[in-house]
Amino acid sequence: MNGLAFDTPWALAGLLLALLPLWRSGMQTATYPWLAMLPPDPLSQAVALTIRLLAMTAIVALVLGLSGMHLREQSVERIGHGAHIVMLLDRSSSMDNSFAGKAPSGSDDGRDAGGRATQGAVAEQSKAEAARRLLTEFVDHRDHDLIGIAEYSTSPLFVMPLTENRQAIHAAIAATATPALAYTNISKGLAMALSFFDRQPVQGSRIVLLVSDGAAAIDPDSEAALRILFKQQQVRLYWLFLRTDNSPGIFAQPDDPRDDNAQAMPELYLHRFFGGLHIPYQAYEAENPGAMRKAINDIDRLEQLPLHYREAIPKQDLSGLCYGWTGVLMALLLGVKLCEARMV
Amino acid sequence: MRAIESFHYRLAHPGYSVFPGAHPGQTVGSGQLFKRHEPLLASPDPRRIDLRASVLDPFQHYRVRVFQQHSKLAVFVIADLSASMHARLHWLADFVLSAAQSALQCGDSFGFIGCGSGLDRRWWLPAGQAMQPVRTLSERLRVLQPQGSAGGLIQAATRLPARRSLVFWVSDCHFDAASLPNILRPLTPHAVVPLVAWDEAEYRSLPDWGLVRFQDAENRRARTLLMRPGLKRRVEQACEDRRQHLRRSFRAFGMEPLFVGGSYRAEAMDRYFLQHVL
Repeated sequence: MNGLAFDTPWALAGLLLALLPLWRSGMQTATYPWLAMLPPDPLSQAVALTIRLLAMTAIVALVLGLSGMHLREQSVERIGHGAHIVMLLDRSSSMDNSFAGKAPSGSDDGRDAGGRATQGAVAEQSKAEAARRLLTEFVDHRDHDLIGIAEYSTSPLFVMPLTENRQAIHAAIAATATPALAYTNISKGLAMALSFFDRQPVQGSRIVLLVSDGAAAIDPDSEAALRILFKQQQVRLYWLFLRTDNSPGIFAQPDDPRDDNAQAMPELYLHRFFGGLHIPYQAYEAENPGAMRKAINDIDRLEQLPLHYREAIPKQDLSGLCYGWTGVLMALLLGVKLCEARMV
Repeated sequence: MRAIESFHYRLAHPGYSVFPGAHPGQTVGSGQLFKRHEPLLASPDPRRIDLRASVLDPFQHYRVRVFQQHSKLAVFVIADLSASMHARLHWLADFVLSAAQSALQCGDSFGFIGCGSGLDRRWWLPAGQAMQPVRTLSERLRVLQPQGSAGGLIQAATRLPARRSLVFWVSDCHFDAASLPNILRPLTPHAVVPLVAWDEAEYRSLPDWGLVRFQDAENRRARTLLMRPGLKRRVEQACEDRRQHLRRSFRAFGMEPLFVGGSYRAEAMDRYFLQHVL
């Protein structure tokens, strides 16, 4: 196997010792006047050969163990169904509020303030917490996806590049439990999320999953840059908008024409901007965790294109295996030694 | 030190020897056994004129009685001194002493030819009538660490006298059976007693079960055997077959082998000479 490597290659010189059993035998040798008198015995010949091979193999295994044999890290090409997904999470401070727009009170004991049983998730739960829980489940369903995570607040936060390491992704999602930061600067966050696809092969589908509870106006320079980036990277965009009660939604049309500007209704304008990008775009407006689950299930169902990916197999230490074999072989040889008949 | 036992041997057809000895010979001379009448001119001994035979002679010649003289015999021991004989050297030393004493007691001469890989002058004792060199030889045999094969056996006959002698041929026959005729053929003019060292312990003392590793005494090759009752039986059978084969091979040359083992006993030799006519 070409992946074999050794920690201390000079110890391989000990392989010469494997020739020892060829002219030395550990057995007690009795002198016999004339061996030709003994009839030929194929079974004895086979046993003698086996003992010799056992001894040689034991020495080889021991030396390989001593030289620290291991398999180098390798990657295996696999084909699965999935996508390259970048999750762009809003870390503005409003994410720490519940869907009702308040700070969550106390722990979620499954009951609301009036003592009535609730659906658990509906009870006092911050939007970030709900997003965290549902995203974790989502990640668990998607076995073959490469998932990267970016966050944005006043500045974009690079959290985790595209990876298939589930543990790292879970940890990155769990890390959003820390208290949120200040404001919302969505244009820089989008630019960072799109930069994740640089130098990545175009295969499967590329998804940016934007999870936010608000929007901000995008200045014209960033807007132009984002248009180019979205075109270049061929991504699909899903916007999961966590709408707080009594706030304007994505699809709300302004009552007053004076409010029809990006400063007053950033969500609507962002929605229009996304819709005008000419890329596959879908927006979900979630007012509670149940609606959010439905949105995520939609994405889960839609994004199942075949995907080539390489799975990394980490370095495997084989010296333990070698020592194990040495032990087994030496035990066998010891058994053979005990089978030896005493010749006076 | 144990007294040396001697044994008695006799030859039915001894060879021609001018020296007087203890065995019935073919030479005419001083003796008790009447052989024939001869003319006085052929045997000018007036004391032995047979008057009655002279009177009855149609040619009117004097007839003289002549007698058969007992003649001396040369006794040789040809011994295999290969490495496989190591365990039999004490037997051989005892036998050499016994044979020498038996020979010297009746006035015969005794010689020894030791054969290792070749003929070695150190192990050659020319026929003689002194006991002391034999004692020295016997002591040297007891401490010998033999090496190599028994290739010298084929040339041993070149050291024997031309006249018929009594040859004790001692070997364990641990060589290729096909070479035995080549060894025995030059010995046929002599009266040969093959003494085959045969140790039953070699195959009877093998273990029933277990792994054993044997090294050949001569070529140092080693073999590992997985002993089991079936294999042990096969080994014993092979040894018995070989014994029969050796017996047949010796008989083909008119020699009756004597398989000897254990410590030396002179009675076995006595019994042999009572049973077989040489």
